[in-house]
Amino acid sequence: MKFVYVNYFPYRDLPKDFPEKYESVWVNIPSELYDREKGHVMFNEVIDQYEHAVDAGFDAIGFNEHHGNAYGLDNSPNIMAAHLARKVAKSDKTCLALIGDSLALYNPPLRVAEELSMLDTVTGGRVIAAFPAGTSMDTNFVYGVPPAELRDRFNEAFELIKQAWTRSEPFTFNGKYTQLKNVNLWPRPYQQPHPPIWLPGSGSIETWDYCVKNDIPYYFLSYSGHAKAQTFYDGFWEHRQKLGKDMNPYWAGFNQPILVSETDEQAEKDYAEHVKYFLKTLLHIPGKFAEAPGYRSAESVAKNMVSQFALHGKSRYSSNEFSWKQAVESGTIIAGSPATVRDKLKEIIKSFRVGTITGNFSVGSMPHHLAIKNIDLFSKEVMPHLQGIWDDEYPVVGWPEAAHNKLNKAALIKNSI
Amino acid sequence: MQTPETIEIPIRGGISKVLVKGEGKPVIFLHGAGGLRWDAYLEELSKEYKVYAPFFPGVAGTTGTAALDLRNLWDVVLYYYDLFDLLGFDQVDLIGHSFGGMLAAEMAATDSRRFNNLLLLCPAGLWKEEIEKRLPSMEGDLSAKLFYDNDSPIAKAALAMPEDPEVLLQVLIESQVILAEATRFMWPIADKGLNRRLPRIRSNTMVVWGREDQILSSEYAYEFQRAIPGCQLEILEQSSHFPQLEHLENVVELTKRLLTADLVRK
Repeated sequence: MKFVYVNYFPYRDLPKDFPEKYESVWVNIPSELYDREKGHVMFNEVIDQYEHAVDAGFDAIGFNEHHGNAYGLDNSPNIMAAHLARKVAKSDKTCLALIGDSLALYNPPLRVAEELSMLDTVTGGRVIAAFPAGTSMDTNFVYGVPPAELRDRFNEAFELIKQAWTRSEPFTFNGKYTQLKNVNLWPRPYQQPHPPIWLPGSGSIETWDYCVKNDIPYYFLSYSGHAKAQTFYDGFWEHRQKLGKDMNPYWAGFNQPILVSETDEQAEKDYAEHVKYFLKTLLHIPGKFAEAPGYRSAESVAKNMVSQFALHGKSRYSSNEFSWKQAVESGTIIAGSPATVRDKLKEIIKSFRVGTITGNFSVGSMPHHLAIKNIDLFSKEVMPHLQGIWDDEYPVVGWPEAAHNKLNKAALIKNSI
Repeated sequence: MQTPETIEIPIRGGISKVLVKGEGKPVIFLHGAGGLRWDAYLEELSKEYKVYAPFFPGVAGTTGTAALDLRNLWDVVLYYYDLFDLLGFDQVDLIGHSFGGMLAAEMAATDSRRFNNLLLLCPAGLWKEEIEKRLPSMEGDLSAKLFYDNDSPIAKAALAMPEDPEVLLQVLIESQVILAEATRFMWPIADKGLNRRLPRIRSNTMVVWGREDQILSSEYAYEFQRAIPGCQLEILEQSSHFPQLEHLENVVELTKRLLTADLVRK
């Protein structure tokens, strides 16, 4: 079982009355709400937290990409990962999971192939390349990609990157959106033929169908709780079975905010207000920005509209009134004492059948000391009890070799030129 | 109101569909991003003209832009030229509303000789920061902004949704498809260089706009008038984005005036 430390890197200090007073946390959030001094501190604390997570023995640290928002300040996952690359290279086994890189936003997308090759080279083969389509707010409203073109652009960029990593001779790429006369990647990826690829998504069937057919790990991003996630994974595994594919849990991952404290009561005391800030303030996104026309298929959107989950007005992100109990019971978060979190995680790992959990450990307005406490308690009291799950049953797939053979400062030194 | 005939035209290995009704001089109507409905305006026109209203590719079971590989506005213009050729029109009168107005303007700017008379009903296609600061285009819940008075019978009829959930689903899917397709050619802002091409228009042109248009500011009406040689302009009070429905009689009269004018090529 693998655990990825993820930090959404939120802006932690929006006004208390933000959801009432402002329209959106994304796209048109006023810049005067950003304090550059606080930003400076937050950036450095987040990097400290990532470093702490490497020392704590996570299997990977993961980075997102968002734009024009206070939900996640990481505009560039590759730049953030670069800060941690050396630390990772010197660690026992920790990898860099680039969960962000929204391929349609890079021009030319070859840039992604290059930067991940650079990171893979620095770390001696510890990069995981996870490519999401990106949210509508990021890709359409802020970065201006026509919504109906997003997935087509993504697919073409994905193709270009795979070719750039694998073709041994310089070649010409004549795409619909990208034309390059001479694709000739230097440096080459350290991992051969290329870093493992994952596709994250929020359940759109096209993506996970593609993953199943091409044996690419899919990992599911959802805030909708465990009931919905269970339905998704049931469908996913049934689909693999139908196609005669193996049932190795490492083909699936799950994304989950995880909050550990000494006791269940203390967890609520420690984290409730920060979770509330996450759900009510950082996910305060109006319908008009949640989904540009064409971002999803017309059929999916229309179905939602018929079931009264209208596009206009309401958002597919906004939640109802905040209640800690409700957030825990629905599975929006996993929180409590080490024993509670262990049991709950064990339960969903088994019932979803997932080999990787990407945990969001720095939630909402959580201050630095609590973020560190959460990392410590999870890595000492929870993670060691769960890492053995699947060990005797399935080989690890979709992870760098370094993650399971503990490569090794020695190898780096031995091979130095 | 008799329903129009739907004709299917095989085109580029796919299918286009056109609503047709009336007798007389042919006129083509290009619908906006809300989709094509046979409304009172088209019905009135069909009493005097033979109205051809094509669906934008991808709507109503027609072959979509992806399958036709229409990548940009130029591709779309040439697609419509092909369609007009298949309909047998060397020269024809052209009306376009909103997104359809932008397409009509692009078609006329590319080759004015194809179009004698050109009517643009609150067309998209221009973008100016100072205008957008006063009234941003196409933001938020558009359906609430289409009409000057949402409680008027005209607005209620136009915005009415079917109650049967199955039918409703189909209507919503269609409306999402056309919105997504139109958005494809207007994203992130509906300025794809039309302002550079408008001065090429030599057709007999009229622009009609609702003064209170909440979707596309009526200030753009003057920009179109300035850019198109000899362009006539009519701005209608107490009207938002559907002047042809909100001032039906008036716009029908204006349309007839334009379409019957003797052609004087500029």
